[in-house]
Amino acid sequence: MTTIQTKSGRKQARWENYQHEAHWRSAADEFDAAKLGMWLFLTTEVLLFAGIFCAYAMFRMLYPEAFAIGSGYLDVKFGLLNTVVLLISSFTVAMAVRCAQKNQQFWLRTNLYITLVCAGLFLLIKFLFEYTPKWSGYFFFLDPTLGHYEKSGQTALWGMFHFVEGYGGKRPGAFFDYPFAQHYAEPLWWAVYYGGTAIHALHVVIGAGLLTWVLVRSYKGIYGPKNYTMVETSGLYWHLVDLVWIFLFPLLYLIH
Amino acid sequence: MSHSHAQTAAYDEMDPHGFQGKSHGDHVIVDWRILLGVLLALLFFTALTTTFATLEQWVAGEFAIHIPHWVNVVGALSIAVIKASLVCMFFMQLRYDKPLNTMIFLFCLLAFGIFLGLTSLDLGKRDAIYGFKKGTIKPGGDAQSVTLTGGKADIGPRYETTMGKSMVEFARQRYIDRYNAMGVDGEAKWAAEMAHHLAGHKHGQAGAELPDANRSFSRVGVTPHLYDEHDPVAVRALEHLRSGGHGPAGELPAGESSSSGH
Repeated sequence: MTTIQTKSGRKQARWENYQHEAHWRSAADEFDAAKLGMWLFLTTEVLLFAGIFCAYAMFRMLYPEAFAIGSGYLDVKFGLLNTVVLLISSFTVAMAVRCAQKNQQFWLRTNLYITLVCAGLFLLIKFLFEYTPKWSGYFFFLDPTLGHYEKSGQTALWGMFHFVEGYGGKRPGAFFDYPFAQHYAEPLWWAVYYGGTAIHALHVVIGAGLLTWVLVRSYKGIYGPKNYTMVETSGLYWHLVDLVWIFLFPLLYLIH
Repeated sequence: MSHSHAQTAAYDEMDPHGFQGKSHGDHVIVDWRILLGVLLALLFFTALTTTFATLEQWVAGEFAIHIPHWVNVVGALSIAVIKASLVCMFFMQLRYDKPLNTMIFLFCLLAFGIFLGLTSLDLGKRDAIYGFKKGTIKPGGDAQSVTLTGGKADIGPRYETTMGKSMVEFARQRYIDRYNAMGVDGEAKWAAEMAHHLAGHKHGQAGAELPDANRSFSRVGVTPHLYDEHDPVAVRALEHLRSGGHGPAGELPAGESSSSGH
């Protein structure tokens, strides 16, 4: 149902006769209030991550060596790739808001699709190439023959994951099982790493969920120049996810 | 509502302070060229900060030129702040928005600053009034045994306690014990792998190089307490390395190796 029939017989998209809720003076007031509410919510999100950044700062102050070594276990390449993916998705969300404002329905959806693909890519890179090898010692290989890795023998999931002895076990706190640690505070580094990146990844999932909802509703013709509040507020949430990663990337991957 | 235009201009009972006229139509549609320019700027700064960090590593490793540590931190965080400002101003449209949203966000950052400032003040100055409190923030805590009280950790063989060792020592001890149980000299095996790890960061089995994806870079710079009294096994591993692989690493029985406590 992208259109509705009016009395005059002209077909209208649903955004064209959008009515603001009765307790608002105008649609503009409604929009401003919704945006203000979203910003207030975003501040609470910032304060959630502030706790993690604070833990990072304090533990780094106490154990600089553990953090230097821990940062050395991370691959800058994947951090960089994920940063690029998130920046591009942030751009497409900003473009989606613009397209809704200009009633470019096709490009609104296209931009949202690109954003969702980026969200999926981010999570894929994170889990396949970063979390899984560090946590379990199983590496994901694109090479189907696995000829040069045959020595270690153990594989999982039809040979897609290959075990490398002595690599896994880089886990937080009591789950720590990495035999080649060089500093007694390394479990703490992993606690900060997993705490920060996993809560961020959770936000990526939630943000992708919101944008999927926007996408589904956009097919009903709900969003257009007169009504794009939800596109804008969901976009703000997505930008916050990007914002947090902009700081997590240098703190975890680049500073040592 | 069917006000005529003249009435609205004079007095609108729905908008007595005349806010309505102002707030209407000030929703900015940001030009796509601006958005694209911001994206390119963000990608440029990302490349800049990564190149900077990589170059610093390379220069230190290749020419033993150690750029002061704070340069790395200040450089990377300054670029992050610039990138965050770009995202806030253009993507989140704070530049075109009502100033109220910006103020709320800045107050939130102020709260973050107070949070961070007071916590570091506490850690830095806890002993300033009561000297006896100095010990409570000793780096490393006691690094002593960990006992799991709320159930068992799901990590292979079920352990409820680290048996008097720190987590790091305990993980190492389990590796050594595992090889001892297989009839291999666990400690020698561990020392050899550790040497391999420290030399080229090719973890795990010799010959089975890690995929490029997960090779960590060689660490350079100041890490003063790496092999100190906290880590008796590592101290012997280092001696083992220095003596060309025939040092005392394999001589002690594994059980004694890291139980000397702190």
